[in-house]
Amino acid sequence: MKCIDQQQLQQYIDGECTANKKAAIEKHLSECTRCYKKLYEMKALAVNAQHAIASLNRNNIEVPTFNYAKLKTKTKKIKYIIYSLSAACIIFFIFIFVDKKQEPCAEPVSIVQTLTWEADANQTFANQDFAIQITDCRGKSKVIYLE
Amino acid sequence: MNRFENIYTKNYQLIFNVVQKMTCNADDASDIVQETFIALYQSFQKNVRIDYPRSWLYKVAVNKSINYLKQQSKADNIELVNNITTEENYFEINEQQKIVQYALNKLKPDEKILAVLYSEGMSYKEMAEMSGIKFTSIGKTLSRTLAKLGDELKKLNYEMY
Ligand SMILES: [Zn+2]
Repeated sequence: MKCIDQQQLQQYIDGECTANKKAAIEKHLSECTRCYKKLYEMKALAVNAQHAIASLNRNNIEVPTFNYAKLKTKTKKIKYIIYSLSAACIIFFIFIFVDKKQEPCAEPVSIVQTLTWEADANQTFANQDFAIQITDCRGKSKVIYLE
Repeated sequence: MNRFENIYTKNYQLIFNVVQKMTCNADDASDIVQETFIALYQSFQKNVRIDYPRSWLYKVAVNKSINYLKQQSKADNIELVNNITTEENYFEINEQQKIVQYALNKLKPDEKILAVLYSEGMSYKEMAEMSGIKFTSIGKTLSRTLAKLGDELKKLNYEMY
C-alpha cells in the first residue's frame, strides 16, 4: 500500500472510515514511520485546534429576557419600507410621465407599419388580424387592430 | 414559563457560544442569536412541527452565521472585525483568546464554520448537514483547515500542547 494522504489520515483520526479502510491504514502505519509521524502530528493538531476554539466558550452568560416587542417592531419596519418604496415608485412614474409630456415631439408619427395585410376571402373581417403599428419619435409604438 | 421560553432559557448559552465563535464578535452574535430565537418563536406560532428544537436552533444559527461571514468577507472587513473584537470589552477576553480569534479570522467562511463545528465534537455527517459542505469533502477540507489554523496559532506563539 502506498502512503496515506492527509484526508484519509484525518478520517482515520476522527473515526470516519470503514472497517476495511481502517485495517489497511493500521497495517500501513505499522510499516511506515513517515505516515506514523504524520498521524501523530495531525492528532496533536486536531486536539490543539479543538481546545483552542473551545477556549472561546463563555460560561454563565446572562441570558437576556426574550424581547417580544422586537417581533412587532420588525413587522412595522417592513411595512414602513413597503410604504416608502411604493411612494418612491409612484413619484418615479409621475416624474417620467410629466417629463415625457413636457417635451413635444417634432414629428409625432415617424413610422407606420402594417403587421398583417393578407386577407382571406373565406374568413369574416373580424376573425382576421388586420393591424397597423404606429411608432412615434421616441420609439413608442402602438398596434391598432382593424375590425 | 411556556414551551418557547423554556427552550430559550435552556439553549441560549449553547447557541450564543457557537455563533460567537463563528463571528468572533459578541455584539453581532447577540443579534444573530436573537434572530434565531425569533425564527423559532414564529415557527411555533405558525404551528410548524419541530421535534428537536436544539438541533433546529443549531442549524438556523449556523446558517445565519454563514451568511454573516460571507457578507463580511465580501465587504472585506475582516481586519476591521478583528479590531472591533479585540478592542471591545463586552466580554473580557485574555491574550490567548484574542490569538485564537485572530487565527480563526484568517480562515475562509466555510473553513471557519467547519473548524467551530469540529470543536463542538460533531460527526462528519452532522458537519455536512450544518455547513452545506459535501459529506465527501469534509475530510479534505477539515485537514486543510486544521493545518491552516495550526500554522496561524504557531505564528502567534499560541501555547500548544
Ligand atoms: Zn507511509
